[in-house]
Amino acid sequence: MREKGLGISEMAKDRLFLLLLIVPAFAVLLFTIGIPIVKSIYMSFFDVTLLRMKVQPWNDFANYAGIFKDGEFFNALRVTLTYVLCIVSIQFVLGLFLALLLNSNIRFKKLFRTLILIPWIVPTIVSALLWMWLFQPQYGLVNYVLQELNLINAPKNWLTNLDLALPAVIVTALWRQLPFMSIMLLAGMQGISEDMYEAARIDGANRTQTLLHITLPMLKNNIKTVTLISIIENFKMFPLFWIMTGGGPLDKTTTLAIYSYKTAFVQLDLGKGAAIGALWLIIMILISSLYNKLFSIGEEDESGRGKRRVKSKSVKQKIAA
Amino acid sequence: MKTKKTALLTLSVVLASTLAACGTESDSKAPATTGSPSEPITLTFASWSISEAATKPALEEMVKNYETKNPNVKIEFIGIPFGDIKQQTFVMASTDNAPDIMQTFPAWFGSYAASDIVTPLDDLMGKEYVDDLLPSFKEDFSYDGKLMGVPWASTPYVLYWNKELFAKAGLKPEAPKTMDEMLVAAKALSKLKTDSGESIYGFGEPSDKLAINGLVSLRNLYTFGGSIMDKDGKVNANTPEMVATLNYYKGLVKDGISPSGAKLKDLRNLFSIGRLGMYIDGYYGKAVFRNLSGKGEEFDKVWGAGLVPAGPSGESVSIGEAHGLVISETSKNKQAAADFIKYLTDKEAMTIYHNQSDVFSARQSLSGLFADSDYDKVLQEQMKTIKPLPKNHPGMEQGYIDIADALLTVVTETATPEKAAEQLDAKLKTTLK
Repeated sequence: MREKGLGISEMAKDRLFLLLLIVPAFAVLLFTIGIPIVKSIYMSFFDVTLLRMKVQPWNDFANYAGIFKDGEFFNALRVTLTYVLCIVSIQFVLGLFLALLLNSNIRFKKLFRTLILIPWIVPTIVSALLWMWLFQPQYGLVNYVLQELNLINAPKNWLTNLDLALPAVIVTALWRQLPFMSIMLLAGMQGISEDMYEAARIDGANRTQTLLHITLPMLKNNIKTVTLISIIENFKMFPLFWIMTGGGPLDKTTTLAIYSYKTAFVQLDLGKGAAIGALWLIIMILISSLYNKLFSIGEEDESGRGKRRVKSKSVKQKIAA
Repeated sequence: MKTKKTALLTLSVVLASTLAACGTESDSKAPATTGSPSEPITLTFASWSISEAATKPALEEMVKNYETKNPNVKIEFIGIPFGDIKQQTFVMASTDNAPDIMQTFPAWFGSYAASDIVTPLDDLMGKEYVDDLLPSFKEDFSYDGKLMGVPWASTPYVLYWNKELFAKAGLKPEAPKTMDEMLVAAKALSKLKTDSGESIYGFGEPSDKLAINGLVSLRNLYTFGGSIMDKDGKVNANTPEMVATLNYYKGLVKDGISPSGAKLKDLRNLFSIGRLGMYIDGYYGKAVFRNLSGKGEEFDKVWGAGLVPAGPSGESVSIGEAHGLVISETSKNKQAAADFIKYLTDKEAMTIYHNQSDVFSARQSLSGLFADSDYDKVLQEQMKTIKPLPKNHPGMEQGYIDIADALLTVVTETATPEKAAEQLDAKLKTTLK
């Protein structure tokens, strides 16, 4: 027995060692993320209120029924999707533009690369407070500048106007998140070999053609990752909304995060709050898997074929061996 | 094998000693929990005032005095910002870690009063103390006929007016007494411009989505003779008085008298920089203006205080605001906590607090105490005309948010006052079910 035990192959030993290394991190994740998720899904089926924590009866899916009945959920979902769609697409276009600019031969390139990172260093809460002051209707800088430039003739109530509140939050989010997007895209661009561009130039390709046929295709994986990160980050965005508008005016900026927080901690209905969280989680998973699918549409043929080729190669090798 | 044995032995020794240590610790702690007066007691006190620069020194002084008088009691503050204290104390309570004493605010007091995390105070505070509370404050902090919180740092809402702007607009140098007089003055003030050409508002009412703004608007509803409850205590917000109140808010913004969708904080700022002629607020006016204007005590000369302008009934009506001190249901030292709260609201502590922050006492026996300045006199006079808030309900914070939403609906002209009152009535009937 003993001899057999000792006879574990080197590879199995390595695997065991790897497992040992990964266990602590995995355990921490399980405790900090896994258990709370399971607990919150469990709670979503019970009548849990912070007013009476001692009794938590099963309530026949009343939390879910309540969510679908009051209609606020769909409004929150609509606001969340509108926000995510706007912020991610605007951010991507501007980020790409900025990255292209910083990747070209401009003066003080290094200085600019450092400068654009500044908003990203500022914590989200601080940027929310900062922009709240800038948007303040009576003494905020935004109204002052726009009036001086004669772009508006009367001060606007940016954060309490039904049509302007969401765009105002989007502007703040954009200011905060644009550096991340452009730096990530810039990093991808720097990984593209100069030979490709040289070959294109020799073939007489113009700038648009190089962008569409070299830069963007080569950046594909980069774009996929960075936009997915942005989608997830914005889908669960809380501090900007909570501080700047609190979900107002009249629920025009009530996202799923705000709706869930208000239900759980203003109305103290943890059960319903958890149910919103559970639905939110499902939607998030659906969206990210759909997104991954969407990006792999073009890839399927190539990489699928590639994979198959590799597979058949390895099978052949095995047979030969 | 030998090493294994040694390891096992060491482990068991360590385990045994840990267990023993646990045992002795809980033994030594046991007598303290009985709460006998001679044993040392630590009271935990969750408060936002201790984390704010303006009120921290007063609180520290009060606690120092109390600890000197009661050497066996130690007060341990848990500073939590105003915006987070409700959520955090409820979460603490859900894991049986609630602080002994918690500071609460009227807009969300209902959640505490109706919960099982706080304890009724009638017996702990004693009949004499409870009967001494001003009736409106007693009602604001009761639930189901029991006192659930002790009003501390009380204040009425009073009118603040800018003397310099009044002079500039050629108005009489006194606070308007009725709503009509106030509106005439406000219109004149809103025609003024600052030296750098910025617009000036005549009179401001907050209409942002915060619960506090819904609560503050009840002062106007009361002035118009209304309430959100009918005589039987049932929700009825679709009344002519509510429509009149909403119409009043709409008019203030439409006529350019008040900024739209403002927070109380915005009004304080605008008043301090001379861009708002009048507005209504609690005791914090003086300290806040000194700070925000950048002129310190010098700015005291610029403003005056007056009673809330009287409405159709001819009487000035205000609402009261106090911080309700509550005692946790799971506290092991309830009586000690109640004794400390008694001290915090007695003459000595209130004098310290009033001298630093202008707060008033909600106890009848102390109601004549602070009348040194004209400002004090106005606050004291207004204390007599306070009407209680709607009875406490666990959904009241959401109810105030619903009211604030109705205000925003009319000032942004999303709906007519009649329609907004109808919608509000339906919402409140669900929220305050």
